[in-house]
Amino acid sequence: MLFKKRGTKTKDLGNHPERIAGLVDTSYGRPDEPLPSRVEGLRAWIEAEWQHCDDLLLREVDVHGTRVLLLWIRGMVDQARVEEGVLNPVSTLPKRRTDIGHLESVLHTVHVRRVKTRQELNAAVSDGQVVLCIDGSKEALILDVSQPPGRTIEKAEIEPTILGPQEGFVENLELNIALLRKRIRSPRFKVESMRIGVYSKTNLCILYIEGITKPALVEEAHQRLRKISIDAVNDINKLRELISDAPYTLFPTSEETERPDRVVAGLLQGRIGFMLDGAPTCLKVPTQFIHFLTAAEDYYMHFTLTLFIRVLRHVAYWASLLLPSLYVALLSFNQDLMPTPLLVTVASQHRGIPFPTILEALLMMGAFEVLREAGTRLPRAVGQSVSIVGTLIVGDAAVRAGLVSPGMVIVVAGTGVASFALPAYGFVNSSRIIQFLFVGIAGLAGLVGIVVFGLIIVTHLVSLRSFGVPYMAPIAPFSWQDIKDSFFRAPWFANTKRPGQYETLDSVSNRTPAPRPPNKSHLGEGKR
Amino acid sequence: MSKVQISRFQIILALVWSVLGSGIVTAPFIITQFVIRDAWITLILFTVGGLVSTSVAALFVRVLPNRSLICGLIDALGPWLGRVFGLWILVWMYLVSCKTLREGTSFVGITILPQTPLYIIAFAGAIACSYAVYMGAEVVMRNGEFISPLALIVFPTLFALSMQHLDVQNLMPVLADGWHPVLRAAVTPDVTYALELLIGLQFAHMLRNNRTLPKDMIIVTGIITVLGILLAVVTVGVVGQSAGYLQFPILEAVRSIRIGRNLERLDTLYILGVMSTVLIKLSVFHYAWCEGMKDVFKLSSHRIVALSGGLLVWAGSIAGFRSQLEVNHFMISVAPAYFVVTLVGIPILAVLVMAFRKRAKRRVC
Amino acid sequence: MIWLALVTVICIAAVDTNSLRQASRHEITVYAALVVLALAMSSLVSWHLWSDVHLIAPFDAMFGSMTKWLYEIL
Repeated sequence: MLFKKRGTKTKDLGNHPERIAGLVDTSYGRPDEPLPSRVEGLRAWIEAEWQHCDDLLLREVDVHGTRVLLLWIRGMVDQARVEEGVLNPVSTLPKRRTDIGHLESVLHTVHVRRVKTRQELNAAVSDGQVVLCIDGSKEALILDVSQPPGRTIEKAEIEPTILGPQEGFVENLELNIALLRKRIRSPRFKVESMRIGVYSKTNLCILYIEGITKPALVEEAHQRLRKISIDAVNDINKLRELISDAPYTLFPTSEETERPDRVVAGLLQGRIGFMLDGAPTCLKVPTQFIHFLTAAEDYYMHFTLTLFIRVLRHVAYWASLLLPSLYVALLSFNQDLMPTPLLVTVASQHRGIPFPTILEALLMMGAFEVLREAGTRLPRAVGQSVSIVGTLIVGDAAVRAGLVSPGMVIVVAGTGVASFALPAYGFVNSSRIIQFLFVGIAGLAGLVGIVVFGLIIVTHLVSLRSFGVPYMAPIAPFSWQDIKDSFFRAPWFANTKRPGQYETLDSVSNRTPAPRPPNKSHLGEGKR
Repeated sequence: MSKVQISRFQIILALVWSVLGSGIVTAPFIITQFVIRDAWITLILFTVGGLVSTSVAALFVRVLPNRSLICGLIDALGPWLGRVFGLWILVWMYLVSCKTLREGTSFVGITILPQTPLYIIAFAGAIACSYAVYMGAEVVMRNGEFISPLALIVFPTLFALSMQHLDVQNLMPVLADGWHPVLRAAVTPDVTYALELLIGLQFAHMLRNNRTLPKDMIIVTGIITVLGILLAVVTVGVVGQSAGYLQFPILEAVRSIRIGRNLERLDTLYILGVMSTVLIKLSVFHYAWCEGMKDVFKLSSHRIVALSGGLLVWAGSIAGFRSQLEVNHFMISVAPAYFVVTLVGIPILAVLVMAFRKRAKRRVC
Repeated sequence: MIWLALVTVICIAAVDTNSLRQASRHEITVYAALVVLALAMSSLVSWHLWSDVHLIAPFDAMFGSMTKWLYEIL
């Protein structure tokens, strides 16, 4: 009956999570069954359960006549701590009756907890902890000496800054959470853990600040996560696609960052974060369009400088989207818009080019994208060479051969440079695709086509929501309060409230009075 | 599905663009058919039309609160008679949509795409609007919000730049031909366009507090009056008496801008800006029509008719108005009386009937 | 124009498939009426019949004289 549902023979167990758990989880349909009290029985069960898992180590120790079974996975534990914190204390126990309570009190150098079921035992072993079972006890001790392989904290590579903190997340969830905890030393900073992925059982954390974040937002996150039933979630992008508001849009509706300082800033705004074990990034929601045009560094320099940089970035974004299409429209339809001397120059450059402008643009943009992709995929030293060869030599050769006009090379290169000025990598990728659509439209209908298609894109953008928050806020819907950190950044003393769109429980983020000129009578006038 | 809500700021912007969107294209030509030097005075009188619209809206939202225009008609006049009058309003909305699309199409076709068939240009516009309408009222309003800052940059810049050619003598002497031409010129902008503000009633139930709608309409009237006077002064000041022979006098004023040797032909920028605002107006009217269709025909969602209705507007804009001359004829010779009967007569009738019914009910109680 | 209208009708029918599946009979009737009207108007233009058909004429007849009177009293 179960397998005939929807008229297919596929074994769809999606509506039966308990059955999935029974099949793949731990104990062949008996996940909550207690552990055998005898070591022989336990060993037999473990050997059957972990059959063909040669990385599992089983070690039996005789402690004054009591059999003790230890098991762990090779490579997932800190070997030195196993020796010093587990094996040495167990082998040097004073001669007395050994029971689980006694062992728990002796093994005080490591974190110890008790488990009762087979499922808990399997989960602990998978997590890289040492399991200690003692003959005659229906409980086992879990000794936390896990040290899964991973790198140490390094500089953020995707979002580098010159000023401000340099730390970036790594693949270790505990380390990542610690990086955040280091910045928010408050019990209000909540880290709710859960496991997702039927097979991967990946540890996922929902991060938020109690008292700031709207509880409905956290509940919405829980609801979306509860719906996930997939083999494995090993990457933040998979999670993003599974909980996305608009799965088919090119524009990202959640923000990914590898910088703990950005996550902290987001949490303090009333947003929530998702972190996944094995993923060196954090996913922040709700997210607006404007977030992708702000960089961490904007907050580490004076606000007056930020205004200039942000305006420049907005111009760069629209240039990366529209520059080639505007060039195509001007040359194909709206030549009258160009000043006559410039038109003469451009027309003379274009003489002898065998392709129409639109095709020339598409070819150049395609070649540029291929070069960019090659530069990214190859090792860094080779990648740089490819970029140089591509841009300088191939571009120059194409112009000399009369295949493309110098103007087109400048426009496409300018578009590329403009896209490099954008801080969010995923967002840049969306503009890479949309610019092709704009060029196609410009080739068909000129500036009118660009305006109409632009309006369609704007309509799409204003229709998007991220966890219930309008994507184009604070522009549409307009909010004066939130615009203070959009095209410009108001000085910190003027930025007193959290973004209104998130409907935070505590709306005030800053109660510092605006600085005033120093009191002369108090400080004195100083030496002339 | 949560109730759609729109803010006061959004409705103000939507109403401003609903009048200026196509008003900026056609109204100058119509005004200059009667009066040139005193064109700016006709736009002072816009306040009168705006206040008439506001009064109708105030009465409507007072007697029929939290209802759209068509819902109010059905509630006040009963399901059958209300639907008949509702259909009449729907036809009006449809005609305004067709006229708006035709105005935008002709404007773009004549100015920058003379080789492209008009139905292709109209089709592009209809698609953009239908998509916005399909996505809902919030999206239509947000589009207006998004376009407004861009318009706030482009239009004042063009306005300021064209001031360099302004000759005040072109505006003198004031009222040399008396009041009659001014009053006749004022009929279309100050009756027809001012009454278009009443499209706001169709969105009244979406406002957080619909009692604020009349106040918002007064603000809109003020904004449009000021902008209209400035535009009239600059256009006539720059173009002079030749405005009477031009189809698009404002365009000619913008075309006169030249800065140095290289910066010229900013009129294309103006055309693109106007095109965007025309599309906003079209979206507002088309959405209002779809909501009205939903109420009259008891549809489950406005989306059922958003795309097919868009197609009908596109076809109607070409088949109904065969040329820009017909649009101008409609606006000068048909629209004033048609709009007064439709937008003043019918809502006032509904208000009176509802008031009478309420009083009768109170007496029975 | 009629070809463009036909292609568009197919496209919007594809987009609206889900809505139409759940729609009641009278909703489909309204939808079909709008589409047929649009096609009829497109064919008027495509087959050059529109010069003989003045769709705004009824409004002209109803309100033309009233508007004329309005201008006269001014």
